[in-house]
Amino acid sequence: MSADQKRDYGGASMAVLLIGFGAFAIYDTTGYADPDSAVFPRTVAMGLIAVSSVYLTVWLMGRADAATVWERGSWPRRLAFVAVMLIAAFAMPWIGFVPVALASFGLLMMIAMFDAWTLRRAAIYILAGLIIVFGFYGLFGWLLQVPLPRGWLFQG
Amino acid sequence: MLQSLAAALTPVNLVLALLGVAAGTAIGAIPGLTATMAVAVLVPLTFTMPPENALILMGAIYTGAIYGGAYAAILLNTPGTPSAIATTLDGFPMAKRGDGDLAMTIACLASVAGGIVGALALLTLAPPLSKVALSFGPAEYFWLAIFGLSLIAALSEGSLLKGLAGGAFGLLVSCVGVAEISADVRLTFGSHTLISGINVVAALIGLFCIPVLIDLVSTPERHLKIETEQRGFRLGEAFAHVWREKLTLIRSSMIGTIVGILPGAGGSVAGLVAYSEARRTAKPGQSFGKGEPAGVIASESSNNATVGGGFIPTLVLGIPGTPPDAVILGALLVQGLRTGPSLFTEKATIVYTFIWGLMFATILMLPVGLLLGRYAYKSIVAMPKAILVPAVAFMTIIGTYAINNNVSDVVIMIVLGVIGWVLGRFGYLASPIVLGLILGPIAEQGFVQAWTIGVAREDLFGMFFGRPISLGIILFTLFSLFSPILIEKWKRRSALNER
Repeated sequence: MSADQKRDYGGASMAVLLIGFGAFAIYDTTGYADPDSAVFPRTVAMGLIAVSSVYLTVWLMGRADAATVWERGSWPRRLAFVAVMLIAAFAMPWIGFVPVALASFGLLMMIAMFDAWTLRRAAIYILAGLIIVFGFYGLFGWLLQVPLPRGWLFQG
Repeated sequence: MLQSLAAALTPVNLVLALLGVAAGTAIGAIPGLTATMAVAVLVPLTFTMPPENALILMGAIYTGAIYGGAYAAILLNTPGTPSAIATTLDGFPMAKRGDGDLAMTIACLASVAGGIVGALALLTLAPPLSKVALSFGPAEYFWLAIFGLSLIAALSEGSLLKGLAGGAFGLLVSCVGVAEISADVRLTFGSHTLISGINVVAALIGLFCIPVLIDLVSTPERHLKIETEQRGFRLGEAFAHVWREKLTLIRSSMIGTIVGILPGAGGSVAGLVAYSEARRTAKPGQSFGKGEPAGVIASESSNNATVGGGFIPTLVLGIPGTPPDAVILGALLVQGLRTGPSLFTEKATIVYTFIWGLMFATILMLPVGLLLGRYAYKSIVAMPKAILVPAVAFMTIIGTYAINNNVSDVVIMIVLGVIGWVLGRFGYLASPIVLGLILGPIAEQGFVQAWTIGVAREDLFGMFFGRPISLGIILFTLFSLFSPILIEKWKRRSALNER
């Protein structure tokens, strides 16, 4: 393991970000009308800043733990997964639950596919996707009476 | 009592118990659908039933849902219900190394045992134990939350400082939205989406499940190790583990019963406290957090024990011990039953029939749980990644949406999942963050209320440090924190003296 691998740059960066979040929280508490609302978040924010600062000090002294070993894997697939999930969530109120669910299911299926596509495999996977989407749609929409988004774009 | 026992054993009640447990388990297994939702959704079915039948069905759904949460916790690293948070810590590592079937069977045995302990407490000790709920004031809740936060030390794999920072981050995240104690809008960054706060279940799904999915799509490796030979339920092996950990089982079930009695605490707190105690009293060679069966036993026995425990204040005092109890309390009012100490004398037949029914529902959970668990395990293990990833992702979206019928929760869930994944890459684990999120509101409310009462009485010190239960919890917290260090020092000193 090299010296760079040993030094937990990522952990230290996160500590800086957490200190920033703690500072923002303290700033936020200055605008509260009721002082009781500020006591808890301010105390916790100070604790977060203190603990993160101690970690940074330990890291600067070279006594922090070694960096966490990253699992290898495909970055484009990771990013595509998050993008599809977020787009699906934002699109649901406009396009409606079923079309978004079917489209995102198909896209996520392609993102998570590592084997070669064959006609038989594609047919089985698409059928499985349809059963899962419409099965859960039935469970939540009809049986549990959850008002799933119908989509604004297609409403008159 | 015998009359009630016989009434609970009628075919109608047994069928209702069986159906309730099966439905509850299936609902609890879906991330996002909590025990509260399972009971709330199915409560209208009970309005036309006689009270004892209705209570047995609701109790069975509740206990089944609490157990069902273990399925997703073990197989997907996502607590199906908040009660199963601690189950993920050792259940998922067990599944990853190929022992998912064993973990599922252990979870079933532990849940049944814990459920029976809780039901026995309800049957025999309800009126005296309900006084425990009344003796807990704001200061006690505050110290209980602080005790809960001391578990961060147990949950921090690797760096304690990162665990503490994660816990503090979770506490701050729990403050987001309109403050419960005033009308101040806190930490929303000006976003309207965050005004209603961050739902704990949405956060749980995001922090536990999304990171697993992000990693799952990035490599062709299988989600769980596939079994090469037929191993069945592994009931003998699971029973041997549970028997070996009988002390953990009894202690965790008792913790679950007592935490269940405390209104507002619930199965998630019980599971985490029991897990921490199991970890603190670990035998040499046990590796908690890396697939230790005792971790699953502690978590699952304690969360199911909260079912019986939670019914104690619900039935005796009319104070719901857990959120599903609040729904059941409402259903009882619809049935025309008024809860209170007199319920155990005036409506003794109904109450004791229900308690026996709950006991039988818990016992029926064994065959139902083993069969459903085996089916769930085989389905997840055999499922190709290209189906598993979109199916689980889809469940997280629809499950999170169903919490409040709100797309904002889904967005928050995904964003928190990404934050959890990034923090996890750098050694800031999800468990302390979740602990902070769950205990934050309990700690804040307890602290502010105790502070206000203390100031009004001009005895702030006495409010926080002068009450016997508070002192007991403080001492126990200190003991939990420092006993491992002191024992280690004592062992080293003894070893040096022997040389």
